[in-house]
Order: sequence, then C-alpha cells, then structure tokens
Amino acid sequence: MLFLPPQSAAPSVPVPLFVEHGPEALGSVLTTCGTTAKEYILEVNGGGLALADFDGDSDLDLVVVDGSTIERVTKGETGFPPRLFLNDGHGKFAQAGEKWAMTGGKWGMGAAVGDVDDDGWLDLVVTQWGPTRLFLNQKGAGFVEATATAGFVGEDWGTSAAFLDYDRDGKLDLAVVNYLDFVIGKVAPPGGGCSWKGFPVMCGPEGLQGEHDRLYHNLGAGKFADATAAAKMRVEEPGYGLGAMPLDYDGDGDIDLFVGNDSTPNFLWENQGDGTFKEVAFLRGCSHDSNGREQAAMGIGCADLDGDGREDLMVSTFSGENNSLFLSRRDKLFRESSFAAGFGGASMPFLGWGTALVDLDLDGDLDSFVFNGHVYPQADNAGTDTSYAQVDQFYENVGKGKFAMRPLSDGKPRVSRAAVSGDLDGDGDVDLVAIQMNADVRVLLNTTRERLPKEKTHWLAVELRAKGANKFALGAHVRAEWEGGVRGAEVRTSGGFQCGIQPRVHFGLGAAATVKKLLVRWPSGKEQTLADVAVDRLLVIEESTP
Amino acid sequence: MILAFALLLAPLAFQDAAPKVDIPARIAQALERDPNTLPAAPAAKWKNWDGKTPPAEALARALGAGIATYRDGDLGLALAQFHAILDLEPDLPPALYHAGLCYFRLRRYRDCATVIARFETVAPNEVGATRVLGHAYYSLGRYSDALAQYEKVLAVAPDDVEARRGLALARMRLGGTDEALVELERVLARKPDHADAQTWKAQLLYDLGRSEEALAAAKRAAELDPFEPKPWYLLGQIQIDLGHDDDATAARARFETLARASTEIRSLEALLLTEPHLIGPQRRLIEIHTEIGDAKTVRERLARLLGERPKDVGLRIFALDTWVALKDDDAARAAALELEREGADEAEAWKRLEAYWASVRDRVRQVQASERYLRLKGGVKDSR
Repeated sequence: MLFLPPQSAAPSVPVPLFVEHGPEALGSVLTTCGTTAKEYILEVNGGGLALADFDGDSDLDLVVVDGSTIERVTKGETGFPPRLFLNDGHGKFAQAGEKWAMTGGKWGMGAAVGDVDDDGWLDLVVTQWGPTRLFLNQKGAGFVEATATAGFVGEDWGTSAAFLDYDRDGKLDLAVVNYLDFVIGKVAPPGGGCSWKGFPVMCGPEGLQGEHDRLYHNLGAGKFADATAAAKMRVEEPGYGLGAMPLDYDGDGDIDLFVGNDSTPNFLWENQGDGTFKEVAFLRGCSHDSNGREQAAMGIGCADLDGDGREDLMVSTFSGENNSLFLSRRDKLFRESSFAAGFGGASMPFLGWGTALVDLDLDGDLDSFVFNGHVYPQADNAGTDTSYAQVDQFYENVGKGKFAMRPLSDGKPRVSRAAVSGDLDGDGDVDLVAIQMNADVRVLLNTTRERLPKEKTHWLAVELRAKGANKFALGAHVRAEWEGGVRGAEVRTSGGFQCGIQPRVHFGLGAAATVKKLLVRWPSGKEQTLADVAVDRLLVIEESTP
Repeated sequence: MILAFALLLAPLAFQDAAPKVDIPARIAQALERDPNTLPAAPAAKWKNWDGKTPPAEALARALGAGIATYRDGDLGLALAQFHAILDLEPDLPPALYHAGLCYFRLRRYRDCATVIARFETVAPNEVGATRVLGHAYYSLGRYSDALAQYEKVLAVAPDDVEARRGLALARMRLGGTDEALVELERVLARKPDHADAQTWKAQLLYDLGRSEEALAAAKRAAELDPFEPKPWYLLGQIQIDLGHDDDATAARARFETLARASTEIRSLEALLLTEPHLIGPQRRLIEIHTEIGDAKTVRERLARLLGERPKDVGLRIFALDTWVALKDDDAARAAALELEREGADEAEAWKRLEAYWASVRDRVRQVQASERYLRLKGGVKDSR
C-alpha cells in the first residue's frame, strides 16, 4: 500500500487542532430530534447540515436541518424548520432573512446540495421522515419551496441524499437513501421487549422493515421522475440506508454510488453506462467488513487516500465495531485495511457518525475526523464498554499508511451526529460544523494556519464551472501534482451522513508553494491542464473552449 | 491450577451460601455493580495462594455453587454468587477469576479486564490462567495490551493454543501479518482442526496476496466449521480475486445464508446472556440451526431446553419436528418415543405422533396414536 508520506520537516500538529467557536460564530442553534429519553428509533439519528455558498458571495453558508418530536407528530404539528445561516466571509453566521426562510416539514433529517435547475445557483434538498423536499435558489436572493412539483414520491424515511449525473445528460439526478419503515403505533413502544447488553432500549433497526432507496431522474426545470426501477437500483432485500457517496470507483468516467447501510450489507451501485446500475458491493469487497460481518455503517468519507488515482472509502460504524477503511485496488476491488492503518482498535468503543477524509493539518496527506455519540442513553449503564456521550476523534495521517488518533477539540464527550467540513473563515484550513443530539450546533475552527508556519501549510481549493449543463461539474476529477505529492479528487456535494457540501476540492500542500500541474477531467470528458498554479487561494476554473 | 481448583470444588456445588430470595433482584444488583467497588484484601494476602488449599467449607460450597451456575450458563446469577463470596472474602482468587469469566461471557470486556487484572495482581502465580485478559483487551481494541498479556501467558504456558491464537490475532491487528501467520501455523501444528485458526490463516494469506494458498486454507476452514459464515465470505472474495466467478457465486450464496442466520443467532444469544431460560429465543435458535443444517448445535440446544422443561409437551413436539426437519431418523424416533412417555395424557401429543408414525409407515403405532388421540379428545369411548 502506497500512502503519501508526510512532508519532510512537517510541523508537529497542535493538539487539539480545533477550537470551539460555536457561540461566537453561530450563537445558540439548538436542534431537536425527539426527547432525551430516545424511546423510538425515529429519535436517534439527529438532523443534517449543508455547507455551501447559497448567496453567491464565495463563502460557505450553513443550513441546519431540524427534526421534531413524537408529541408534535402525534398532535399533527409540523416539525422544526430547516434554517439558513449566512456567512459574513469571516466565519460568522447570521440567520438569513425572510426570503430564505423555510417552513417546517414532517421531521427533517438530511441535506443535499446541487444546482437542480441548472441556473448556476445551488439548490437544497431536505430529506425527512416523510416526503423529500426541494428548495430552489432564487439566484442568491432566497429559497422557494418546489416540493409540490418536484416529482418526489413516497413517504419514506430519507436519511442521506446525493446529487449525481448518472446518465450524463448534464442534469443532476438525485439518489435518496432510505432507512426503515417507521410507523408510530406500529413500532414497539419502550419496554416492548427490545434489549441491548441486557438493558431495555428502543426497538430497531433489527426487526423493522428496511426501505428501498430511490433514484430520481432530473427532467429539468426542477422536476424529477422516480427512476429507481428503470435504473435497476433495487435489490431484493433493502438495507437500512444511512450514508450516500457518489464516486467513480472504477474510473470509467461515469458515477457510481456507495450506500452505507446500518446492520445490513453496504451497497455499491456500479453505473453500467446505459442508465442502469448493478449492485456489486460483495464482488468489490465493500459490502461487509473483513470478517464477513455486516456493519452498522453511518457516515462515509471518500477520497484518494493513497494517491493511486482511485477513491477510497472510510465508514464510521457502531460501538464494538471498527471504523472501516476500504482501500481501492487496481483491479476494482476494495480491501478493508482498517487495522493496519490504525482505524480499527481506536474506534472500537465509539459509535461514529459524521466523518470525512480531508487534509486537516495541511501537510499534504489526508486525515480523518469522526464525530461520535451513542444511540442508546442506556450506554451509560454499567458494563456496556461504551458511553452515551463520546469524544470526537482526529485521525492524523502519520505516513506509511498509518493514522494516529488525537483529540479533535477539547476532548469533552458529547452526543454527536452529522458533521460537515469546509473552510468557514477563508483562511485555507478546513473547519467543521457538527450536530449534537438535542444541543447546540458546534462550530469548530481549525487552527492549523493560525498556529503553524504558513510556509509549511500551503493549500489550494478548486471549484469548477463547466460549459453548458452541470455547471458545478459534479463528477469531474481534479488531479494535483506538487513537489512531494500527488492526489486526485472528485467533485461532489455529498458529505457522507445527512450532509451536503460545496462542490469544491481542497488540497493541503505542506511546504509546496506551487502546484506544478493541475489536471481537470470534466464531466464532458474533456481534459484541461494548468501548470505552476499559485496556491493559498480558491481557484475557480472555467471549462475551456476547445 | 485455577481450573484444577474449580474441578475440586465442583462436587461441593449446589449449596449457594447466599439466601435464595429475590434472585432477579440479586442478578440486577450484580449486573449494575461496578467491579471496582468490590472490597480489597490486605496487600499480599493471596500472594502465595497456590490453588491447592480450598477455603473454608462454607466458602467452598458457595464457590462450587457459583461455578455450577456459571457452567449452566446462568451468568447473571453466577456473577451475583461470586460477588457475594468476594464481599465475604475479598479478592479470593478463584472467585475473582470466575467473576472475570462471567464478565467475559456477558461481553462486558472492560469489567472482565478490571477483575482479571486484579486476579493477576493478587495471585501472581496464576498468570498462566489469564489468557482471558488478553481476549478482553483484544475485544476492547487494545491490541498492544492484548499482545503483552498473551506473551505473559505463553511465557509460562507455551502450549496454550488459545493464547497463541490470540497472540496471532493481536499481531495481525497491529500490522504484523507475517508474524501472525507464523503463530497461526504453530497453533495449527498443535491442533490441526482448529477452525478459527484455519480461517484466520486464510485471511492472512489473502491479505498477503497469496490467493491460491488462501483458497486452500479457506476451503479447509469451511470443512472444519461449515456453519460459520466467515470462511465462506473469504472463499467468495478469494474466488473473485482469482477470477473463478461460478465458485465465487456459490460461496457467496452459502455465505449469505449463513450470515443471515448468524446475525439472528448473535442477537438471540445476546438476549439469552442475561435471561438464559427464556423459551422463545431458545426455540428460535434451534429453528435457525435447523434451517442451516447444524445438527450438532441443535442436539446441544435441544438437550438444554428439554432439560429445563422436561414435561413440556409442546417442546417435545417441537423436538420431534426438529429432527424430522433435519431428516435424522434415529433422533426423530427417539424424540417420538419420549413424546409418547412425557405426553401420554395430552391429545396434541398423540395427534402429532399419529402423523409421525404414519410418515415412517409404522402402521401399528399410527393406529394406537390415533385411538389415543380420539379418546383424549373424547371422540371415542374407551372400550376397556
């Protein structure tokens, strides 16, 4: 296995790398997902986040998707509305005005970001326990809800959603990953005989019926058609879907989809290039862990970890299971390599959710973070070998294929859920936003550029603007080469677990003050090369005319 | 030595020192108790304990009772019994040891590590018996600690196959694939039919890219333990690697059947850890093992279930149905005869027996069962 070594003379990483900045940056933004007792599985997954530039000022704005309570649902009341917070360019957020206001739905879960109507502005999809919702961006002036005409069907429990142009027609299609069939009154109430480690707990997912995921084909102008059956994206036994990650795993130029399932085998939907998919996770070695056990997959990180040009996968999982690192190989097979990399043992006590593979310390190699928190408050009882509130983790890439676990921030245990990464304050390092269960949304500022020498922590962020349709070039591949390093990255807007991100790729470069070569493979198939690219900036590349 | 001591105590069993009142409450208390709250003996009290001298008779009886309960699989009650002993005689090594075993089987690895580490401290001569501490560290993801513990055990007990297997796996988790393979070969040299060691050998060979050798090892593992999913998973992955698509498909099908069963088995076994006498989960376990054809496990589980409820006619019928489903004619006949004895006064027993004897064409017994059924149902008057 070839991992990029850390830059020579790499600075030691300050610990903790991140500082809490929520109260200053965002104020008190509370989310709700049921009560603290967590009596039903509907109450445990928490809400979602989107970090993207909705108002066109180049900084990252924040959408917080909120949930509801069983009591509100029972009374027929709507859930708490999703909220947009606009970034002032320095990482401070203020709730957006009336034109951006969104009404409450049924019970919000996740967020996805994509230019649905191809007007050059990022739109928002919100998944729910209930119908999926669409909010069209009015050219940076506000959202208008277009759910009624969007063509979304069903009353599924959607968790993660991902935009991908699976048929390469230039219009962004949408995959919605569904969890399970939850009906209040039909699922056993507390004390209904479900136990974990000898303690009575809420029931599920085992014993409940999983729901099939859905694929929507974009018809244009904000309208979709359910293409799940036509695209053959349907298995005999549905999983309990939680995570979604589009990627071109086989490098054939079309976009595939990895789905992380809770307590059931993961799916890898291989795009057949003719508008259909084939489920190949077992054939490619990423359906189960290396023990042949299905995992409780939650979040998904995806990036070219070892510089071989193919995307690798990191999956956060349940306590007592290891977070799984699936490294790609030349023969299109993944191999679970968690233990050799150091992800295995360190993750065993934790139940992981939000995660990503990203260069957090700007030393030129990819690190990872995992936000943790148990689903059972009963995890605090004696003898569980875990706890309800858990610390978040920073897996620092220390080279030669190894990661060392470090505290991510203040080391205080919390009940965390979805998390998303992006440069909030424009300083070049990647910051984090995380949902806590029934507590304030956290903003964690990365201190790398502040605390380490700037000449050792260079970076480059890249956004693409394609000609014609799919203006943000989702599915494009960017390959950067610099002194001592090379890495590819795919343009996507999926943040792994219930999160959407800006279509932007980010390279930490260590001491390299120039990117020698930047190669873009556009969704159109064209390639474009830039040489000697200046760093420490956000570079927007427009697709060249042939 | 500790095991010899346990055997010595076993005949003294069946006399629990603690009062037999409110057993569920005792179990709940034991399960909620932090083992760090167990009282400590004066320093070095048990330093020279050799395991040969039994404690006072009352304690010995209590220990025997606890060990019997532990062997019976009633882990919560056994833990309560060992706690009671340790409250009376702090740090008594065999009680500490067995409390640690209870924690391990209850999958409370942190508590197991706490108690067995304490056992090792108070009875340093017994380090050879502490491989379970290695297992606990391993289960907690503390592979370096596990490795160190296995090495300590093997230093005094080099023939401990399970400690060596643990050592191999700890090395593997720490990235020492080649060293792990050497240790597994040692395990297999001593115990060639060690299915788990064979499985991990296949895994390591696969990881090393030695696919042909991995294939042979995985096939052997599947022969040794045909109902464990992992060898089939590996077989599938290796066959894909080798381009043997048809074989891969067949291995995958078998894997998926076993994996589905295994998931439910794990869930039911977890439930039975703290409530071992629940009938429903025990029955379901037997059904699952029947579905995958694991007659050996079915036999063990049926024996246990019928031992708990020997007069339960419904369970006797279930046993007969199970052996019929497994096509084990001898076992089915034995179950039918037992049903005749235990269900002599139950109409439903004779109804099932009538069908069974008809299916094996034993006309005489079929007619007898039919008549008996009708009499018990009140349909025909007894002519006698």
